[in-house]
Amino acid sequence: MKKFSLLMTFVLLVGMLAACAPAAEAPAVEEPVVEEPVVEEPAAEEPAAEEPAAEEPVVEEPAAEEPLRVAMIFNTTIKDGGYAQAGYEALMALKEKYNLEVSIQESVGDATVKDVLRSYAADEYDLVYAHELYFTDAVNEVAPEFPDVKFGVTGYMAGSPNVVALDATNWQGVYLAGVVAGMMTKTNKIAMVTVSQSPIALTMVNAMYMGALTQNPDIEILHLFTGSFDDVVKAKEMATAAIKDGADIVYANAGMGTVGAIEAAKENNTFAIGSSVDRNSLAPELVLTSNILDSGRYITIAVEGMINGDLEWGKVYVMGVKEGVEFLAPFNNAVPQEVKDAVEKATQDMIDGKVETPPSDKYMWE
Amino acid sequence: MSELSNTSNTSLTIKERIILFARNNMGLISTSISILAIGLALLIGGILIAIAGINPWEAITYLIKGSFGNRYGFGETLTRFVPLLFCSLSFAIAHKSGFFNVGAEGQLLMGAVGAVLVGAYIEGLHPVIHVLLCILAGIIFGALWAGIAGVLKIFLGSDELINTMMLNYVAILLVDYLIHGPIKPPESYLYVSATILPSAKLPIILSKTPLHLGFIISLLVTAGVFYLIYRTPIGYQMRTVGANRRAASYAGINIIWATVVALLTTGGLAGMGGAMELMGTQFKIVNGFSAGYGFDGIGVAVMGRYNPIGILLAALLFAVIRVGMGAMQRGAGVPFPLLNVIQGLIIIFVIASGYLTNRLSETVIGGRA
Amino acid sequence: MDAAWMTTIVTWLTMSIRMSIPLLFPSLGGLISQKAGVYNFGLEGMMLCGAYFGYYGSYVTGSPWIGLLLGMVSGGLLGLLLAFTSIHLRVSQLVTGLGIGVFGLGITGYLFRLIDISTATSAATLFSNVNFGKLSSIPIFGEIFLSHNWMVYAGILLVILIAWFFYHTTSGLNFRAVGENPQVADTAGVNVVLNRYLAVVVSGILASMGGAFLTLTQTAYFTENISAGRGWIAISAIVLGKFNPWGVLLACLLFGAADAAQMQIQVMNLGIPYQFLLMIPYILAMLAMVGFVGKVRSPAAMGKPYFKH
Repeated sequence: MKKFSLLMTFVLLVGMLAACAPAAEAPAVEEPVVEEPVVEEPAAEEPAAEEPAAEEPVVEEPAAEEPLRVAMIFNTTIKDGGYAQAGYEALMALKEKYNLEVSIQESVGDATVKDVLRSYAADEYDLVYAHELYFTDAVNEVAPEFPDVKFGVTGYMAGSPNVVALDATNWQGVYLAGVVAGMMTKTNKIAMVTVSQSPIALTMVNAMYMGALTQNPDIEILHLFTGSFDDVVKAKEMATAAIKDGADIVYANAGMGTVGAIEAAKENNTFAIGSSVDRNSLAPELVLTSNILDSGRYITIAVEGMINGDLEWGKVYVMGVKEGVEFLAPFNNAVPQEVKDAVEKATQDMIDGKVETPPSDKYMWE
Repeated sequence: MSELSNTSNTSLTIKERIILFARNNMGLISTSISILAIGLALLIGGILIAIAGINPWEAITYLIKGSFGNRYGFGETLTRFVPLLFCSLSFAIAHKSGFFNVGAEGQLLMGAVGAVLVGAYIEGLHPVIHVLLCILAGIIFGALWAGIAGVLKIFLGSDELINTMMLNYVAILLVDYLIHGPIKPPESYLYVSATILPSAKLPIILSKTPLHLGFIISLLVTAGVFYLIYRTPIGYQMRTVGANRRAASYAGINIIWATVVALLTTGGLAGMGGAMELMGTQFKIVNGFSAGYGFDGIGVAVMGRYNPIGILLAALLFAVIRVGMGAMQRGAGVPFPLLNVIQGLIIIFVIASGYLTNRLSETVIGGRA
Repeated sequence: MDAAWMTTIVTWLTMSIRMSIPLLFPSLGGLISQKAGVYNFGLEGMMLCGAYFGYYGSYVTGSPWIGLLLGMVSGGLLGLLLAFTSIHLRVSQLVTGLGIGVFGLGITGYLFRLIDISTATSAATLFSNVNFGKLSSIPIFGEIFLSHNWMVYAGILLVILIAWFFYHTTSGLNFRAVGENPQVADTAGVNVVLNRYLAVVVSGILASMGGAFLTLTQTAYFTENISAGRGWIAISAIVLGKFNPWGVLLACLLFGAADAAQMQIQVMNLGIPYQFLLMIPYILAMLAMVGFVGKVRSPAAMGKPYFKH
């Protein structure tokens, strides 16, 4: 009898929760009908408002009507000092500038991303942006379910007319770093510390190899992966191991581990090249430069594209050195002029399309 | 009205009424105490939220709305409930049989691997057959993975707490390796496994939500598990071995056999959870497929005091927290670490509140509830 | 070829020692707690607090000693919490520990968010390595054993201290009795509750020192989840070490060596998928438990709350 009453309690509880749910749906169904005309007007007005030369009216009018609602999701913490943080800060800057209504969710796992996307879309955000390559498939799976919502992803595929995919080449900056490393190395051994051996990582390693090869035919790359996005200490140990093995330049792109790898270089008085953001402050004499990938650009392009109406949806945009998304940070004092000249030439070669995309399936030297 | 009173009065004193009420409604009271504990944790969490500059009431509202206040969230909560339930059943059965299985995380993953092998690569099967085969594969893989620790324990006396824990890490790494190559479809750019065929997918039971048939299956399995433990001879043997090995062997129980059955069940349950998750909502193995279900399952089993209703409620609570946390960040901007703080506080306070329940039941019943 | 191999081995051994220390501190802490009969599953959370507060103290005051102190206090407080729930409330030690683990992860991430710092200016001041002068330039021996931070040597000293305490002092004997048979210990006049409280608080302090080791000697920056699961591995190290301090030291060295080995193998580029290399520490732990360790006996009263009659 006791167990039965407990069972009843459980069933009642679930039933109560179930009763809550459909009730909540009714008002939600009504709202879009009322809202749509309001949302559409600014969109119709904006192209017309753009024609007069003054820019300010374009910014103010949508704000007066209904602020653009932008959602952004991240695979990791937003305080990573790199990729996610850049995206987050760019979003905040856009919020200030265009008076947006924003919402973010961080540390979203690959297994739950579709639920998060659906929740945002069902909540009628105007733009749902997924700032992570691994979310690409999920975004493309969810987007067709919500044709009125715009989706953006930092990825490689836009399979639905309401999706736009923005990405960097992810290798062009590394190629330039390779040019620097190839010229500056004395042992001909370069260490690269990354998180994994993913296709992107392989592309980067090959890009480093290619860039270095243009300056130095005997170059050898040591590729190490930590297997973890946040294990700083492990990255440092790996870089140390590589340095002991003879590498005299350390390139690090290992999430949070980048800092650890550069610390290892610092401790061993070895040159280093950073990534994501300018890492020079970590060891000013030793960090030659950093491969900057302005990952704040993606959300900026997406949001401004929406507001100005000049972004084509259903397309994939791959940007690199030419578009100013990837570039090397200012060089430190250890870099001689001839290296700087070589980098300039290599940059021009890439803009002119003379450099091929490196393979992503295996190491080039095998 | 009651024969309990031994005075000649027909009415009870207030104290006796209260004790009688408590005795008959221990379940309700312990649930209420747990709810108070959650409230306290939310209170402290709310203070921390306020320090971060966010309105705590708003945040809590989003927690509730996001986890069962709207249709999708409701469905999502019950979907997350499924693997949690399976993992907690796994831990509970092991505990009842006298050993610690902290390897549900790995066993769930291996179960998913088994299910994906059958689900993605065997074609031309009728859906019902395909689903059953996938579930079977999940159970077998999970049971075998637990079996490794089991063999080490039975034949070599090696502690299963450590072995099951180590096997978690091995499983995670092994699956990582598999989705990098062996079970990754060649045309896929990302590191994921093959996707299972439509005939192996579980149907959705609540439209416009991720809620799938696995939910119903999990409830049935829960009933089945407790039936096994409490109403079958083998279940009795498992419990006896768990309670007192020496007494069990004197009673003529085959300890090895009981342990083997217990092991297979505990691993098989976790593996089944993995299969459910794969076939009902994920459809392919991705990075981070087992998102802490195994470890949370331990908390659920303990908080639920190893009985079916308790486990169901605790699993529901954990699922609500998981889904609600995301909604709190989306709706109110609560930073992710705070969500961990609140979850940790809830676990600590609810477990600590068990003290009150124990004291209460000792007073009114004369034993622990 | 030989010189290269030599360097590899020397690097490997040095790294092994260095990487075993973040495991050694929490393991010793957990050992002390378990010797007294209380499971400490919250080591990971205590480590993270030690790492964060160590970093914060050093960053704000410029003194790593203050950071270390702050970290130790935070670990001790969490230990106190665990002690209270386990000894006075007598509720599940396993789950409370798990809860502390999650809480620690969250509270350190949260506090880290509240302080607004950028990587450029936020380095904490580290402890510098011990300077042995001429001795450190002894080939091979100098690098492997004499190039470390003081905390490394402190860790080894701790092992000696703990072993001496447990096996050569009366209070140590009483302490162990509390874990083996609290009823008898109580009758003999040993204060079970006090000993257990001390054990758990000390375990918290030690675990937090392990975390502080990461942010005060290894890297000058805190990052969320910097301990990356070492607190959980520490639990395995305790069992692997057969619940005695020397065994725990060996176990931690084993884990450190395996971890260092997989890095070296990666450096040597032998073409083995890296996931299998990363598995080495865990598989070794399982094998070691079987082959060389045999049956492990935990303190008889471990995990069981003590009811005073």
